[in-house]
Amino acid sequence: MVDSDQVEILLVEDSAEDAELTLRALKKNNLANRIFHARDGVEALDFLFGRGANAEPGTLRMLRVVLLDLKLPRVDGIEVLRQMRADPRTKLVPVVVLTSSREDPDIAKCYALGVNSYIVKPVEFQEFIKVVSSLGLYWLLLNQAPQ
Amino acid sequence: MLSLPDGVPPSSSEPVSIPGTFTRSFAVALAILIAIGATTFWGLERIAVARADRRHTVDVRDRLSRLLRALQDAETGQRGFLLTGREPYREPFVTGSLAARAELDSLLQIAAPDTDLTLPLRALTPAVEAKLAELTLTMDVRRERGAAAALQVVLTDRGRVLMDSVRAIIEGIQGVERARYDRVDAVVDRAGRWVRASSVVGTILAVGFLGIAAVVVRRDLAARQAVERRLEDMSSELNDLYERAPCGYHSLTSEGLIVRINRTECRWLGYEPDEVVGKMTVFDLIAPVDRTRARARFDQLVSGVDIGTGEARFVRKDGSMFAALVSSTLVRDASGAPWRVRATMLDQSGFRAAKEQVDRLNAQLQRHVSELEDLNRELEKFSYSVSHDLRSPLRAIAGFARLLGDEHAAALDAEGRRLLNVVQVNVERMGRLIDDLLALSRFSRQPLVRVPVDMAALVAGVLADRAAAEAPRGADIVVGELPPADGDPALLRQVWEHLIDNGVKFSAGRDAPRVEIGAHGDHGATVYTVRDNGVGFDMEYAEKVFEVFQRLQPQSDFEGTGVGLAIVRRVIHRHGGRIWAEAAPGRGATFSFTLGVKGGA
Repeated sequence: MVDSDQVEILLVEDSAEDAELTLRALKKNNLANRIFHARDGVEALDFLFGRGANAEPGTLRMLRVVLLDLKLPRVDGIEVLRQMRADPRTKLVPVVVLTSSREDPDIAKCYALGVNSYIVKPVEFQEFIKVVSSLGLYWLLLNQAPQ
Repeated sequence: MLSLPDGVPPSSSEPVSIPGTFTRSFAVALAILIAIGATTFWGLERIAVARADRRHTVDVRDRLSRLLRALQDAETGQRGFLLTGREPYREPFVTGSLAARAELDSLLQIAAPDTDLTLPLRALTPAVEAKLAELTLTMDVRRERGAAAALQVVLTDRGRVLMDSVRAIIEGIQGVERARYDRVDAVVDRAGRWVRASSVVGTILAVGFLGIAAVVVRRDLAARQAVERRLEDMSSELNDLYERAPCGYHSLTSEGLIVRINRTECRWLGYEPDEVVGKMTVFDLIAPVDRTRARARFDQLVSGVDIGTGEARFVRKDGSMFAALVSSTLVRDASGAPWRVRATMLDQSGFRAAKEQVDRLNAQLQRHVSELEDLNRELEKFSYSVSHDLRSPLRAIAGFARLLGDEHAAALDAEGRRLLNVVQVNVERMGRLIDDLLALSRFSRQPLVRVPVDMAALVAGVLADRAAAEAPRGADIVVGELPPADGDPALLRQVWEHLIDNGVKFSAGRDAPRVEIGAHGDHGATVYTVRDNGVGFDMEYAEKVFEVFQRLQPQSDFEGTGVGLAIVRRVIHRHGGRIWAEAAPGRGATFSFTLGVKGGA
């Protein structure tokens, strides 16, 4: 298991293709060193709160941003966001929602739950890389973490 | 007797009026008859008095005659005695003088009140006495001194003179009495004439006036009969209307007893009128469940409160029930006390049935509406999953095709790279298609706001955005005057964007591409237009341009999804407006639209 204390980016994404493309985009910008990829909401919550297989709760000391897809198997993105905002340890961690469409009715709910930003995943790969890269750069390099 | 629906309140009887002409004629006739009576009575009285006068006169004259005869008898007796000297010849003298004195006495008696006779009668007595004294004297002379001496005394003519004086006085009185007799006779004649005249004239007049009165009475009677016939007609008509009205009527005493009820209401209730009138109260006919309320309302009405119209359930003779609307009014008698309650009733069963039908249809409609709402929600979900589920694989195709091109280009020959490019171009097009479809759905569902919109500013904003875009297409865009409108600014911006992009796109290949934006008035509405000098199209397809996925130009010549104008039309229609196109192949196209008035959409 990855040492949660060292992880800077948590990517929550059920689509393997989207995850691969995201990781590639981040890698291109040398940002993929400390990424943890959760394939659904349960894995994401396990990572964040040290449940299940990863029994030891991490300090999440280095976690700078969570890239969260909303449509997830088992526990969906909204629920993950809700639990994060309810827990003092993850309350202030920046969350960027990745969505397929601007039409997503959950976007309003996300803002109500205190999401920091949302990104519509572009179909065009070039644009996608651009978006993901600027996203990673912004949150990792430019944004001053709350801790 | 005239029969009104619920009679006439007691003590309001009208006095029968007798026409004036009749009264006057009758009074005049009566007065004339009284006058005739009075005149006749007066005349007869006069005649009676005159007769008494006449009898008196005749009496006086008779007695005067008898007096004179008695004196002549006395003289005859004197003459006989003078001639013979014998006592028996003196006998007529004795009786004559006695009779003369008796007649004189009675004359004085009967004529005592008659002032006209007082003076002559007073003169008559000494004259008679003087004559009798002279007769006695001559006879005394004959007896004492013989016939010759007596003759000497007679020849002195004194006896004749005395007798003539008596005669003259009697003649005078006779004249007075004759004149009186004549006067009285004239009075009797006059009075008789009066009586005759008055009875003739009076009778004629009285008959005349009575005739007039009779004519008037006859005429009035005829008129009265005509009025009564009309009243009877009206009454039977009223009765007919009352009995056969399409609503129920009933009249109640102030205690609620039914005193009159029409046939319609009886039919509804299933009773015969005889079973109800005077035998049942209205409360007997009202369903027990409504009875208390009805009773309270009735008491209120009788106490003078206007209760208007109420609804109550009635029980038919067979026990079934029906609902009815009842309007009641209070009728007062002449003294102002409550007398009758008059009510109109409407059977509500039909109305009820119709209302139930409406309710049923409403419920059905409500079901349809909620079904529609469900469908709408499903559509929304569908839109979302289309956007999400279709885009994810697309993203993967695009992404990995890109990686293939970037990282394995060396392994591909030129044909391989061309094929890869075809994949990428189509993936991109499909992405736009999905975006546009979602936009169309969003613009159809999004709530419409209506505020004043500065169209000129909106168009300027769109053009500024387009100018900032990377690849200006080079069309010459001319903007005319654009009046403000009422509408949804965000949606109207979409309209301008699509129409302008459209114009720019289809004029792109021309020598001097040009897009003109303007507006003009038409029947009070503002028509906004976007004109281009592009490829245009055949008017046969003018309606098709607004349909989803309908393209009039090959995809290879003009990029586009075929959704833009469908969005435009949807937005215009939601504003209650109209959009149309005019074009000709190769000669450009003009798109025009209006917006409905505020609140009219």
